[in-house]
Amino acid sequence: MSNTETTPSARLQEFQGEVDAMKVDGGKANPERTWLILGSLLMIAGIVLSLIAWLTLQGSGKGAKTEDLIAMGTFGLVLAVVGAALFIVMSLRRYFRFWLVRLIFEQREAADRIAGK
Amino acid sequence: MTPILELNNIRGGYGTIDVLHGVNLKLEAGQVHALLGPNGAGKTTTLGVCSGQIVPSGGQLLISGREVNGVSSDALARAGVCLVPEGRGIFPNLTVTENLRMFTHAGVSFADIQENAFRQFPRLQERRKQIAGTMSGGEQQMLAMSRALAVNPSLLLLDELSMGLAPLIVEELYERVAELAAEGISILVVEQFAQAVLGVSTVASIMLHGRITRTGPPAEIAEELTEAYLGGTTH
Repeated sequence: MSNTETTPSARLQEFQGEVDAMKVDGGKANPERTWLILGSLLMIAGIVLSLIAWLTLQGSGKGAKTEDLIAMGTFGLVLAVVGAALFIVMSLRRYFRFWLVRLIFEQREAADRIAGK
Repeated sequence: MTPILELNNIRGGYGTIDVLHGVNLKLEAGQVHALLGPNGAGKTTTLGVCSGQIVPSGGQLLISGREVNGVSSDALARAGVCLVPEGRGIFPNLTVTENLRMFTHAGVSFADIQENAFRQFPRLQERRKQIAGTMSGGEQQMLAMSRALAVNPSLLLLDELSMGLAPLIVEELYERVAELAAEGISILVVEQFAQAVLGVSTVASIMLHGRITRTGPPAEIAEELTEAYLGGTTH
């Protein structure tokens, strides 16, 4: 953007052009919430899958299905771990964001105090 | 004429907590719109939405007629939507000149920024070697405004300009705001203390509990303010 003197209407036209050229992706008001829910769902689904695989294995003898059930159980465990990781990361992101805002606020207050305001 | 800024039924807030519950606001080019309301009404959050810092969870944010929900705050700033935040948003540990140098982020040369700032606020020239945090509140506010003006904005968002300042300084700052509006800059001013801003505004709104309850000429709004602040009316 130029900083040269322009008439209001010329500036408005330039502004209109810049607004039209902006990339807008729609955004998400609260993306962490979506990821938190997804993480929780993955965790629950993983645990349920593993439990089903384990309980089915308990009740059956060795057979052709055993390997499938082991694979299903392992997949369930992986899902549960990924879900838990997502849940923890998103929870921490939210917590640290509030922490950072608090730090900035306190620093600003301290600067005002030092400057005698 | 297309409004330069329009909020249609905007909802939004912080994390899972919505602070705005359907805000409707229109700002025409060259207008000074005063957004008034008591503490906690959602005025600063509204500015956060307008400047792209808070993504609305519902409704439409229109800049020059284009819906820009979710656009980044830096893209809006580059286009010419500038926010002067509450608490000024300057670097208190740097000198005035160093602060001005920090404002070159948008690609405007330091010489242009310095010339513009000193022309708009001659007092900053006298204080150019002073640490910004040790200046008076009014001078800090001038520095914050010169940061916003450095990028030749079309839409200026001012948050609590009068916060902690003496009435005379506030009056001087608002005279400057009126001059900026006369130059064609559209201005949305958020204020808790209305008297200073109503004198220079062309339209005023009262905001209560995350909604704009009344919009009208400043003289009419001034009469209703006390009732709104104390009684929390919802017209």
